[in-house]
Amino acid sequence: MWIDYLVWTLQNLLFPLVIPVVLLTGVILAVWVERRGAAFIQDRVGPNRVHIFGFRNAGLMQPIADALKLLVKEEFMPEKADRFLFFLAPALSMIPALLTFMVIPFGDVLVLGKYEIPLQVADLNVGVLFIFAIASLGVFGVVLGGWSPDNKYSILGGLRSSAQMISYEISMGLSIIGILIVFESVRLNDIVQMQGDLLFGFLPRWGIVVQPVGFLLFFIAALAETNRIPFDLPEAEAEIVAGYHLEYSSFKFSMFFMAEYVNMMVASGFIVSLFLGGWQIPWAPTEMLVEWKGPLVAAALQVGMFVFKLWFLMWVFVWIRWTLPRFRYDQLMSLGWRVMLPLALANIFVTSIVPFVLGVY
Amino acid sequence: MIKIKPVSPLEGKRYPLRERVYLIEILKGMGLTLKHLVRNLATYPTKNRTVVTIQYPEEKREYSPRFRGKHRLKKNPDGSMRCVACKLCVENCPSHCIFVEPDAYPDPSRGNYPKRYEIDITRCIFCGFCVEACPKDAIEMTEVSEMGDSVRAVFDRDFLLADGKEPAS
Repeated sequence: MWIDYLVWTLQNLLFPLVIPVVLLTGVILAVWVERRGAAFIQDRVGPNRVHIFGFRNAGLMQPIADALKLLVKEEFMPEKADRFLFFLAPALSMIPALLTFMVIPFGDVLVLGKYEIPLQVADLNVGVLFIFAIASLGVFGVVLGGWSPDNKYSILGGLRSSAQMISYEISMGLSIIGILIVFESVRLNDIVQMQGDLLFGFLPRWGIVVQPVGFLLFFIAALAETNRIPFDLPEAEAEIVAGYHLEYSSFKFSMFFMAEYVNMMVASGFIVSLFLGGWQIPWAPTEMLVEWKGPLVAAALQVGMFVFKLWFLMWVFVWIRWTLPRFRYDQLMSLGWRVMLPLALANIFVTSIVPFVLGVY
Repeated sequence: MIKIKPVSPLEGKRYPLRERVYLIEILKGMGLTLKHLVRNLATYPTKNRTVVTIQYPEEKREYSPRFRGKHRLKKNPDGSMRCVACKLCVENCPSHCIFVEPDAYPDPSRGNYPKRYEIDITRCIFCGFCVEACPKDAIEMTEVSEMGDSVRAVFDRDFLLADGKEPAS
């Protein structure tokens, strides 16, 4: 049947192709949100001049113009750079960023007659672990990007980021265990499904409700993992110029730049899936939506909800960036090891004890 | 073992617990930035914007009436030049950017006039000493601040007389 092939194509070819494109388009929007948001927070107007045939669109053309400018710039390579690693590093930071989004579900399984289309590229049964495994590969891009050009500022940035990422990956991993205990699965789809339940009959059983400390720790760790202010020590324009991507220009730089924003989107999508109910619309389960307007509208609403939550978190990332200053290095380490790690362990302990105390088991 | 103690500028001074927890203070800070954002976005389409940016080519900063901008050579009511080419402005100019070549009118009773009167605008420091020095009040400075030009670095007599517009010639 040709329709079988169509569904197969949609699932196995279209999604893996379309999702990266959507993410990279999202980068444009993210840069725009960042720059205009920053401007309005700081009582400025922000970039609003670039236009295509007079079509300014409130500065949305600016990121496109920046990307085009980067494409036609000179590809610079330092004389003593390790040529292979210098080429490899941007790709190594970009690919994991795009890969991790593949297991994040952005809608419930779309049931059209006898066909079931999961709105997700790959429904892995180890989704959470996969994200952690691939996301930690991202640090290689940063470290190699810092090491290969043979520049002292770059290597400082690479060093800082490796120390930072290792420190915060531990708290990140531990903060998620509470969620895994509560939802008893590492499959993102299961976790999101279960967040559609109601607690006490009215409160959505979102991760943030059942694991508020875990959410806080994970959010802070995600900020650190994506090298965002207040954890942007690997870049630290004021101290080490631009850190690991100092010697990069042209398209290689834009790869690092896009990877940062894609990482933000992945982190947001991951937080949304784990803590903010994923594609779940509160108090409106899938069956209700399907009954109301049919499966396609239900799927559209759910995807819209997911996108809304994701962009809300993106905005919080931007908002935090333009509110807080950068941490000092010892503050960063002290927060990571002396505050977040004990808190995460305590969170696991409490999460494990509480069901027994309440007699749930 | 050497014990390294992080040096804090607030060493010896303890903040109250509420501030040491950070989170409340961070939320307060985020409230402040959000307040600015909302205020700026809300007033952006209206007349009294709170953003401080002046959108330059469309909007311009208002200068003081005493602003010293581009020079202008004045004319008598009959249309003749006021300048008598006395070169006092040349003498008084601290950056030596004025060049005057005097010439005499055919009618001896009318005295001299500048055959060439040139201001090298790239050297001018806009001090206004030429205006102060002029006994005939023949040169003045306008409020025009936009003198960017890719072809004209030296303002000649006719250009200065024509009030900064292209001389009719």
